[in-house]
Amino acid sequence: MSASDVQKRSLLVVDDSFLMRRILCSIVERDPRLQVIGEAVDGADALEKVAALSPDVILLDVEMPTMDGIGFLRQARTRVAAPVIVISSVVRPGSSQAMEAIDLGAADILLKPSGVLSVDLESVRGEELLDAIAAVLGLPTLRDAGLVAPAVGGANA
Amino acid sequence: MNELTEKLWPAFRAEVAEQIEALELSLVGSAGDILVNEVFRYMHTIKGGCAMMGFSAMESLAHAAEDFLDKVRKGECALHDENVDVLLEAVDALKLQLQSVEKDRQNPAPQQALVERLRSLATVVPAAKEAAAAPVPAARRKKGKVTVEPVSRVETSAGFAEMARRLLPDLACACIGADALSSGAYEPLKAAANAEGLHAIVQRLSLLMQTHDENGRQALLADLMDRVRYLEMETGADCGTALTATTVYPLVSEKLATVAAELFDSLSLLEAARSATSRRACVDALQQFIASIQRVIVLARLLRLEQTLRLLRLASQLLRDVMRDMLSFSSELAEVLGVVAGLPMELLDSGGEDAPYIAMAAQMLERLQDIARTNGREVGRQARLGSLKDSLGMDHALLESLTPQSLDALEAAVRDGRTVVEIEADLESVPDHGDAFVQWMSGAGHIVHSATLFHRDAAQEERTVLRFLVAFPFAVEDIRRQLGKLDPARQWYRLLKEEKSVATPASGAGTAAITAQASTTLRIDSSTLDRFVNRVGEMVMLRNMLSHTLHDEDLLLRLRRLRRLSSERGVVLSRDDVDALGALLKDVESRLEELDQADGRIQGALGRLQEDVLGLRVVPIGMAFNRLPRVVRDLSHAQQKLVDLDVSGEDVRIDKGMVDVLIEPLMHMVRNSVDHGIETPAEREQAGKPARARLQLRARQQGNSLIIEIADDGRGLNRDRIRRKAFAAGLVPDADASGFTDRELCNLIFLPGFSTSEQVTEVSGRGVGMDIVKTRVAQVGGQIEVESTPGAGVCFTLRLPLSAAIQSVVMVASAGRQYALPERNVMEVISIPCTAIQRIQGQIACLLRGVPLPLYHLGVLLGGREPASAPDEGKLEVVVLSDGVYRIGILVDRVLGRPEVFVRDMHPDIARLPGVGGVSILGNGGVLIILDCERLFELALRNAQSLRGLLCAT
Repeated sequence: MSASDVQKRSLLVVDDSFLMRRILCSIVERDPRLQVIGEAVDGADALEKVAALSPDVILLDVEMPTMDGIGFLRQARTRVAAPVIVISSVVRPGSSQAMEAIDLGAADILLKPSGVLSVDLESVRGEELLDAIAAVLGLPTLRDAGLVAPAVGGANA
Repeated sequence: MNELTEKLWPAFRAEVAEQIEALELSLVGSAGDILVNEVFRYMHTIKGGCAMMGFSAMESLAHAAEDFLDKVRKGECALHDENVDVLLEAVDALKLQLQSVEKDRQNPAPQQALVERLRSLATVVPAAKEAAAAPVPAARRKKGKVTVEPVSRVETSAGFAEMARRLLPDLACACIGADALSSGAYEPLKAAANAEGLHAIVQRLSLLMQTHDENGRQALLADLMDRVRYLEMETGADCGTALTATTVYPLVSEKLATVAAELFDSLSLLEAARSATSRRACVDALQQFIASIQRVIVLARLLRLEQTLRLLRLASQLLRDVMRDMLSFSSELAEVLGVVAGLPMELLDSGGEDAPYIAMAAQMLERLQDIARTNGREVGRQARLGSLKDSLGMDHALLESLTPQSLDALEAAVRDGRTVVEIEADLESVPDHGDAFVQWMSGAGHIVHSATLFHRDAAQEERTVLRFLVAFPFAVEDIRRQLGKLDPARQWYRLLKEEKSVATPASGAGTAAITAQASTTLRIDSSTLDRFVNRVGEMVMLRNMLSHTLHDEDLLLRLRRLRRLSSERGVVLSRDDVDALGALLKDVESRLEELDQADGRIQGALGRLQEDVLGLRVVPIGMAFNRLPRVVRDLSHAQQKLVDLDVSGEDVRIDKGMVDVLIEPLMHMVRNSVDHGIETPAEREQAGKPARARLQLRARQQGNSLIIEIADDGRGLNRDRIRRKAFAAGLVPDADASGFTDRELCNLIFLPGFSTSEQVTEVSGRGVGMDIVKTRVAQVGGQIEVESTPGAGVCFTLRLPLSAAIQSVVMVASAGRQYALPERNVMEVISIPCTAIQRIQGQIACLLRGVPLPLYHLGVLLGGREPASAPDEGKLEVVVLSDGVYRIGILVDRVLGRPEVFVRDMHPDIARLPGVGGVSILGNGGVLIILDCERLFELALRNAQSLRGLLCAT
């Protein structure tokens, strides 16, 4: 493990979709300061993984079986210290779910990335997520930190 | 097509295919039993995946279905058979689209008509009464919010609550004051929180103890207060936050005044953001403004200013949404934010949130939510734009700039079949003319959208042009003609791109088109993978040991030395040399022993690895059953029959390859049962049976076999008809089929060309019959039987080996080649003297325990020549094969053994050879051909009609 690995901030990705977890991970990997240390498939799984892994940030989906994202946020209020970024297409601005997530202390709410096929859209979406994670962690954005984000889908991304 | 899509493709394909299958399975139950939340989530996941990959045609279809299902789960729509049919159509269409994407990775053809039908489903509002009666409340309860409640929270939090009531105010004062560590409040509070699993609170307390920066401490304390407050609200227990807030107010009131004033002052940042010329400048200004809000939020949490907190949290989130372009920064939003930014100042006068303040804050909260709802960029936008681009055949910037309203209008225009065109107008050159033009557009058509563009003309002069997206109720030729009247020289107005509303392709998906496609990916449980890693590690270690032994040159050096010595001294060896030779021999022996041990360990490790590899291919038989409910549903609906499908044993595990082979025969048999076996409700009632028929599908493991039974309670096989058909087809010697037992008679339906249905139906009588089923089952080494009780139903029983990949074979040599015969067909191997061979009607045969056994040279069966002359003496090796009915003897040169071999995929060229059933790779790398005994029997019996008398039943 190199010195830079020690500094890495850790993330837990919570989403019932395998594909979505892959995509979120491949976006997060673009920031050398971040590292996904675990994945959970629903809120209950996430609570267990948080206890075991103590991530610095949690990326949380809302629509999930067993325990959904809102259910997780409720539990997290007293049990999970890490900030939670909600990533969902159901929590639209102004929706009651958005308000619920805000009231439950979600650090940020983002739309799920879409259109990875068209490269421009993907990069915008990916950057938004990376910027949001950086902001929640109190880090400068990749751009401001002078770190160039390699494009997703690059040879080893 | 990009690299990322390819990289994500396998995950996408596997997930969407899996979700589609699960979705279909959930939908085929009766409408009342469908788990709406489950179905919604499947559709939601499919939509998300398609959106991600940019397959907008799939996304818009899934999205329309998801919207409808969302209404269902909210109780706004009810599910019934008709709209479930539409959902199933969507499932079929998604399958076809997925297949199309699989081929070319291009956005598949849009299913506009189906999308519209789904949308119209979502707009149907059920009568109030119906809505109340629908099983909606139950569905709502199941809504994804099942939270795992900690065991009686109120009770467990009592300890912490009591402790917090006593200690929190002091702790807060200490934190805000100079020396946080002077408070002895931490440890007992931490212990109490820890005891109740309030890890977040424990963690905050620990951090507080370590943080010496005043601002940092305040932020942590605020966060702690916030969480404790939440605990209070959840449990109803007083944890002292109210008292704490009152206690610390005097300590932070000055700071509140400062940050509130700062927030109000930073309103100029909002103006700056709105008028910013670059995106970066806008984002920077907004971020600074959000930072001001955050400073107030810290104090709002600390002082338990709940309305302020909600309002400011919403405001920051909306500003972040604006930054991300999810929300437009309207003047209305700026105005409300102006009021919001001023509100905290009001707190200073009243010393907290009083009634008028709370009312005001609540009003602002509502306005902000309203604005977000109306100005928020819709989530399905990309999909809607994509489907518009698809149906309009245009792909240009104007569509991207559509507002939500104009997007609705454009979709409506397309739906109504209007002609949508894009017109560019140079109104700057002809200001006078503009009015007539605009009047014409809005009179004859409907202006959906317009945008201003800057152009440089030929003289490099900048000019403004307008672009309009207009929908007309007539054809494009008419538009061009009318535009020509306004501008005969065609210099002012330009028709950019036109497209008649594209006729949406028919959604003729149809269930028949769904092919039983063998999926190529297999999900592996991570513990299995770990075991693999360990096994491979074990192999590597053993290999290293071998390598070490191999490269140890000590023995070689000593041998060389001995040789040199012996050549120097002639052949005379000294006493020492003999000793050295003895020691060398010993070492060689021990080295060999080591090698032998390593060989044994490698063999063991390989065996375990092989076992695991085989385990990977094992899946629940349910994978093959999953498609059947849909088949039963569609067919029974079409024939107005009532059928309950009853599935059991779907957990029995079976080789994955077998599942792929079994799906089709199972579907065929299930279709057969519904089509031919099961009667209409009226017929059933007449026969004294319940109107609802029962179709059972049972799987169970029996030793090394898997037994699948498909049993219906229909009318049973018609013996008379079977007799007639069998006689007509020459399958039985006389019209009565005398000499055939009832069971034998029933099993005649598996013979080629036999089909009992007198009328060939759409469904199951397409010339292929049960013989195909039998062939497929036999391919994987299985057997099938049928039993039937007249009037009470039919039961098909399939007996299959659990694993198709590993086969026990008898290896033989014939004409210099090696072949393998599946052991399950081999009755015995005998050795007969050459003289025992007789010729009966030109066919060679021998007597096996007094019964004639026809003999065939293996080489001859496979298309080779008959040996010039049979040897007169010595013994011949005969492998006796049985197909379950008949026995034949195969003459081979030698029997080599009975190994277990791993059956590989065959090259198509090999698969075409007669009699070949599979291949395996031998230890020496050579290919071993595994013969297909069914085919051998066919080859052997080709001319055997005349030999009937000779063939002996087993």
